[in-house]
Amino acid sequence: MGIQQIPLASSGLTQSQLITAPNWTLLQTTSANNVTALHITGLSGYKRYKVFVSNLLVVANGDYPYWFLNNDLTNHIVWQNFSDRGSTKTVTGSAGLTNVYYMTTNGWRNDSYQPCGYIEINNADSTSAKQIESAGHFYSSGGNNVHFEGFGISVIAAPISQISVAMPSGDPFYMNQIYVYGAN
Amino acid sequence: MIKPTIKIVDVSTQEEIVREMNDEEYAQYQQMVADQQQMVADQLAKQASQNATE
Repeated sequence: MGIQQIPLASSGLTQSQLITAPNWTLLQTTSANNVTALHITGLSGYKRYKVFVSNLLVVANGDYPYWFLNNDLTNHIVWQNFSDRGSTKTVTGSAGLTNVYYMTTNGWRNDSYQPCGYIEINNADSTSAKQIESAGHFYSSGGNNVHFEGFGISVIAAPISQISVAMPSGDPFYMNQIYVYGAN
Repeated sequence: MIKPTIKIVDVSTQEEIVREMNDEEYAQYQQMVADQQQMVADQLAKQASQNATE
């Protein structure tokens, strides 16, 4: 039996429904210059959000970003700083933490290298769980090219209207380029 | 006392504000730092305990 071909017109779907690739729209470009926290607010109307950052520079070695949604810092997403990539780690944070996103990396350092990464939130407009993906790249002062990536679930029961980032050390940081995208 | 600087980027209005933290934000900031310090202390204590038993 050959392959059955169903004409588009009889599939019952519109053309836009058949296209599954997100239609990413650049919402804003910005930067962070020696600030202690960055809040990207006013998010609405999209099912997906993506924040690209590059040239992340932290003030102190050992710093690493907390990403958090809707200003809920107790449920954060960690770009953790590790010097021993590949070893077994446990999730950091308070007991009962339910939406931790966790990854291993050689870490963000206080040097002139230019790490970049992104965080993406899917299902952002619903009141059910959000899917979170993140990845980044880092060139360590030891000469190692490090790629890291991870996946997580946020159970924040509200549409996402705010994405924030801060260093848990409380130190200020820099992000030379920040790109905020939305898509449906 | 000068509080830390915060940046707010509102994508709905394209407005960007850099200002000193307000009291509520500063309280959240202090909690974040305290949590981090506690986590580091817990990790150091755990490491010390493991070293003592080895």
